[in-house]
Amino acid sequence: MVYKEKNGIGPVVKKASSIFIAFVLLLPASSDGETEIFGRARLEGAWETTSGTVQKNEQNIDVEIKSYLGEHISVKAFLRGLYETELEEDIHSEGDVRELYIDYSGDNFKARLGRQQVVWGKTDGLKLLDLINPQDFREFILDDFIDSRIPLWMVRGDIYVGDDTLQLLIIPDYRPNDIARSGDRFEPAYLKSIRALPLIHAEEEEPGGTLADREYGIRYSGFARGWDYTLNYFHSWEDNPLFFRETIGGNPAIVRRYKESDMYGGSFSNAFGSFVIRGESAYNRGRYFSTADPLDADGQVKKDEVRGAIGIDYTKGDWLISGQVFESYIRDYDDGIVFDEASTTLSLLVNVKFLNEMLELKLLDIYGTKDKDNLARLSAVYSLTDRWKVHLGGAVFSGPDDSFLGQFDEADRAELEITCNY
Amino acid sequence: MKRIIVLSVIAFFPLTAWSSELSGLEVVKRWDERDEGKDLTSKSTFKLINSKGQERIRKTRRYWINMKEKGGFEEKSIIFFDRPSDVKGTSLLNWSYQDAGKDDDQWLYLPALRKIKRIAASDKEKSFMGSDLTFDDMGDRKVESDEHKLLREEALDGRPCYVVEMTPGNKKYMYSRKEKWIDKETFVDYRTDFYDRKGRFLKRQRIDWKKIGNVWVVTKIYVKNEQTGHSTSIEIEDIKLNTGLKEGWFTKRKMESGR
Repeated sequence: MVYKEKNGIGPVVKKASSIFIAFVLLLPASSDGETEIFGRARLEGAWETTSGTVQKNEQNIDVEIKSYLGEHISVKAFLRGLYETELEEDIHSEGDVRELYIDYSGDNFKARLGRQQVVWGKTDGLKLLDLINPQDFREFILDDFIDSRIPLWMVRGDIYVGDDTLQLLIIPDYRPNDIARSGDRFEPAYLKSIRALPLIHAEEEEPGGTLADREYGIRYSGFARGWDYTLNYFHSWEDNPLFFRETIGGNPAIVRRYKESDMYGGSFSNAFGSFVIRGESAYNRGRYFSTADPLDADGQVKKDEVRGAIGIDYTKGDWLISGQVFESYIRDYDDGIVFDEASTTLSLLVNVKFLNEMLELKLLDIYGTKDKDNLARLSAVYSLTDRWKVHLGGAVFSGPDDSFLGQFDEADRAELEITCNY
Repeated sequence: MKRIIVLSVIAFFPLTAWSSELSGLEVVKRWDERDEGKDLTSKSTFKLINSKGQERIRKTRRYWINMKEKGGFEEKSIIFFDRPSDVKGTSLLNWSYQDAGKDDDQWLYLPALRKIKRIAASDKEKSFMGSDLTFDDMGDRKVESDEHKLLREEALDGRPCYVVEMTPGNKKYMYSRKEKWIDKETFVDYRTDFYDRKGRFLKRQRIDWKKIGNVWVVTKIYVKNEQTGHSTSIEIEDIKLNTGLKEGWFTKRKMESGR
């Protein structure tokens, strides 16, 4: 069986990034500029409520260093040391350069070169335009985006036109989404069934090895008559590999392949009294969808998809109530496609702060209208001091086993996190 | 001699009569319209002290520009949060307008999310950084939002002051009324008493000022909530006035850069 684990970045980018890391880390040491260092240490634990099994036992230390090398240049490094035990069996520790970039700012432009996160879009909790960085799904969607978003090596240029901004991205670094491994608690049901097929499993080389594989994007951000708006375009490789039915040496096989697609989109937001209205939409051209049609040659069909979301935030004193509606629609739909032609997802967020912001309570609920699947998350964060915070929370899944959220119905969990900021 | 006395009385009379004839609204307008300079930068240290005496510290940098007569704006400001470290890099951009009926435009940059979010600026009743001050208390409230009544004139710490009662037009507002002590000579306010919706005494704010050139600037604010025992002390330092800040400083792109 040919089955390759993730290669990571291509050799050209890898070599260039190593030189860049050394160069950037040496810069602050050779300057008299101002340097800021801060960070946090965290203990994170999660236990399944049904079995008491440990889902997460993680200790990490984040260090953020920002150094200003004169009026126009600054360097930022975000480093993480991680010690993790998963299901009490697999223990590992690692150091990670979460972000490392150099900024050059002129009067009408800014260039950022290095490993970074770029966030597009106005929605919270679920992503439409926020496709630049892939995501770590090993905890499904339970991890914070700042932790689950996978930084990429890229060049970002912002050009300022009055109050508006034109942003250009060139990304030679490709990484797929990090999906739970076989047997892990949050292994997706569709992947579990594919992995279980008694066929040859093969994978084509990941993109990102050469500059020809680069991803690129452009965003125009403006403000007119009280409205913030953006227009977006992103050419990318799909963050999830696709599974094609093929034959290898005359034997049936499943081959993981990577495909390109184009996304055209836009977003808006405005405030009206105590309300903020925000929304975004994306037209994904040429996406591949798995099909169960036995007559289909390779098990994948290429379609266009339209996705949109609108949200309303209501603020009153220290209360925030936010509702969102997400819609997706596959054009020119074939009956064999394993995803629904149209789907609607609702979300509700209630956030309130008490005791001069020492105590924060939050409820987030995500609900799929077709399958009636649901994820409810509750959390309470108490600030013992400026440094120390305790976070208690929980996540409850419900719905049919074959639904997006219901597939993890047995994974309900209680969470504890202790944070020390420094 | 009698003639001199008569002339003196005539000479003094207009000033005295003008002074005592100011209405509550006129006093508050003089307070609101006092010269604040063209632009200002400052650093603030917030001490939040609960009823048990435990302290929390917040540090901010504020940049402000007077925008009167420019495109309908009143002012623009940007605040960077430097401490505690879990909010470091957060920034708040505010554009306010001369049209009293137009809400401010406000954006919040959250570094943890790498995102600038539009936020509702009309709700000024939320606490500013967990302090005992709301956004309204920090000076965002428009004069037209309240009715103003001159209660009396009295000395505060030896300074002759007008005491003005401010009653909100909106009866659902967080305060049923405020009383403000405004200096008769400089028209800066030294003390404000706040009463909750039920008319009970809620909190008292005291302010220290200093004069830079012709402009009075705040150097210290102390507020104590008498109902919870929580208090806030704000020390304002590194005050720089009229340094020539440009309007381009007060844009969303500055929020992310942090300086």
